[in-house]
Amino acid sequence: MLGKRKREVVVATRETRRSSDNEQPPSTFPELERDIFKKYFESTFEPLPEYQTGTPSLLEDEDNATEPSSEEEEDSDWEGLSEPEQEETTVEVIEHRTFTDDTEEVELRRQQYKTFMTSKPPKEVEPTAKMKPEKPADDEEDAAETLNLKHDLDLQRLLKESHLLEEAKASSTLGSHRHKALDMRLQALGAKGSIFHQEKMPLTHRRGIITKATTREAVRRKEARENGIILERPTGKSNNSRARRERGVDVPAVGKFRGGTLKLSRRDVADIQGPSRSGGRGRRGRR
Amino acid sequence: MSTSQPAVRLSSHKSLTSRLVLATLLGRTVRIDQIRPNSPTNPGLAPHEISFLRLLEAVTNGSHLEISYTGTVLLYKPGLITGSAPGSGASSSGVLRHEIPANNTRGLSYFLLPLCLLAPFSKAKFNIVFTGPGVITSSTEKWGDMSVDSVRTAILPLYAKFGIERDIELRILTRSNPGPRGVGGAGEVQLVFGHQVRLPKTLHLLNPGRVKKIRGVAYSTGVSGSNNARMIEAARGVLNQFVGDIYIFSDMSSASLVPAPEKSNPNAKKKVGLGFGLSLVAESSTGCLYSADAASPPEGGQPAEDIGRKCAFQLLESVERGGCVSLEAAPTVITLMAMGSEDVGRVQLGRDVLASEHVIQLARDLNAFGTAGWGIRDAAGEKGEGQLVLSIVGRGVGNIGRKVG
Repeated sequence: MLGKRKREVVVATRETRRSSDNEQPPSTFPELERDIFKKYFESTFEPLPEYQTGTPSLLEDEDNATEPSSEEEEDSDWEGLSEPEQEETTVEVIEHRTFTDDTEEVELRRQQYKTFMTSKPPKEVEPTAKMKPEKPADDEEDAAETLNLKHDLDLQRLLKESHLLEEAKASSTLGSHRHKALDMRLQALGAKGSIFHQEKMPLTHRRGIITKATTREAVRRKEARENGIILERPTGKSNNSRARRERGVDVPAVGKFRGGTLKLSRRDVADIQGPSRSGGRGRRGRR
Repeated sequence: MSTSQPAVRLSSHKSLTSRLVLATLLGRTVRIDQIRPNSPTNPGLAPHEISFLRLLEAVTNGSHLEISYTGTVLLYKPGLITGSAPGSGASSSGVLRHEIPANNTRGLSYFLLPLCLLAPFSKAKFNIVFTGPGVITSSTEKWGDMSVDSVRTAILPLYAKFGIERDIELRILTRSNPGPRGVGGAGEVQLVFGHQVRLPKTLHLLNPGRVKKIRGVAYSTGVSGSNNARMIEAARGVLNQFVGDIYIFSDMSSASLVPAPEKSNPNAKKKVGLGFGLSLVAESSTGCLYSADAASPPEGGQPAEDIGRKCAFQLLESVERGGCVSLEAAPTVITLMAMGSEDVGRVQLGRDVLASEHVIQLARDLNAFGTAGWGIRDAAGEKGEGQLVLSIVGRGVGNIGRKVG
């Protein structure tokens, strides 16, 4: 609030200076020219910093001076001491404002707070991940590069979605192609599945769809092989059975616990007994 | 849980929680006698110990407790650690409420630290709410218990080194300092420990690194929040010259009201748990943590600046002791290592940490429970001068040994 008021004061200064104390008007030609340039510059860019530091202080004094004078008029028995003095002395107020950008600091602090003051045990914060300094794209080459990239992306999108455009010409429904395009883009960005993928359907339908898809693929591959066309490698279903399955903590390490009995297969038993050595006092295997 | 092995016989009331935790994890019956036999006024088990036994019974299934008439002898047959599975003591939503009586004087970390040791080996996840007129979330001067903040920021991150890191939360719902004469408090804390493992990973922690950042929480309960600012300023005054990266956060809350019926006014309530405190954690470049805690004494009379400075000095002392594990965290780390797979884990400790009373007692207890001995040698290199490398062989039972056998 205080700062705002002061800024207003600063703005007002120039006006008063120009209108009231017109001791040295900017009459000289270079001065005038500079003023025009300055005005033009300020209209397009930021206002230039004010070099005359004395002026805001003067005006503040004036401001201070007017208020007590109005009070004086109300109760006249007290004569202001300050008024004659203030006309003579100019109190120089120098304001040091730091124009450091502390939003970054605040952001960092907020991030630290969020990581540290949660209910979870605190983890490392990576300030580098979010706070990458933006590259100054002043280079002409860089600009061209980015433009090229953008065009590339557009072209790729066009190529990918062109078949939809063809379809859209013929079709009657309006939004469906837009939705399809959106879906494709989502998948390109890494969505798990299509939004058009129906989750629930009768098993017979599902089977039909799957068999149809597999036969179509098989036919395509077969034809390609016959014609000597090299296709992409088949992306079969990823065989996840190899990966270690996360099992419950309460299941036994060996055998199967079912119906209140722990059933050990022959292999399990052999595993426990370990390699049978002569003498029978072999290693006990795993317990 | 039919253990044919004879009961482990121990005596004295010291490090009761760690003994009970070892008994539960290793499935051995334990008989502890001579629990404060010479105290004319309060012989036998203290209120907080009874409360801990109740808690232990709540999170296990099939455990058996016998306490002698005077409370000086305790027999404990452990059961399975079930956690707060719905149906066994916990509510239908799977939250176990544990009420701590008003005559408790220990900080909540007394309950939290052993419980967190049990939780990874549990069948279901732990979800416990500590309530009641005895929950003290701040640190306590008298017992040297750490604050709940320090448990969260300095102890729980250590579990990640053992491969236990998912779904762990320690939520401070209401803060409380010790009440008048250090008795009682009225905080509320929720512990969620949802990562159960078969075996903790083998730990090799040999490089303490250098302290790179300091974090902290200043808390004041029922007193002016300016105490926080004063503590932070005093602590930073000490620490600023050592590390640049210091953030100490401030948390102010009002004191909670507990009913205190009088003859004239049966609905009267009083505020308990007023005070303030500071918890600091220093983290090294290799992720080792050193913590310090200080809180205003219940009788008051200490300015916030003193508390802040004291806490900062304590932190410096903790860093000075060296090693990869601070004094407060050493029992937790050592116990988890001893429960690990049958493999040698190594950890570098400061000489004073290893020689502390708790760690030596823990070593003796582990020996009594029949685990393998420790190997201790001097740390190599000039950086590790005056420090020791402790090698511990894991027991290899983990979570599953008790399920099969």
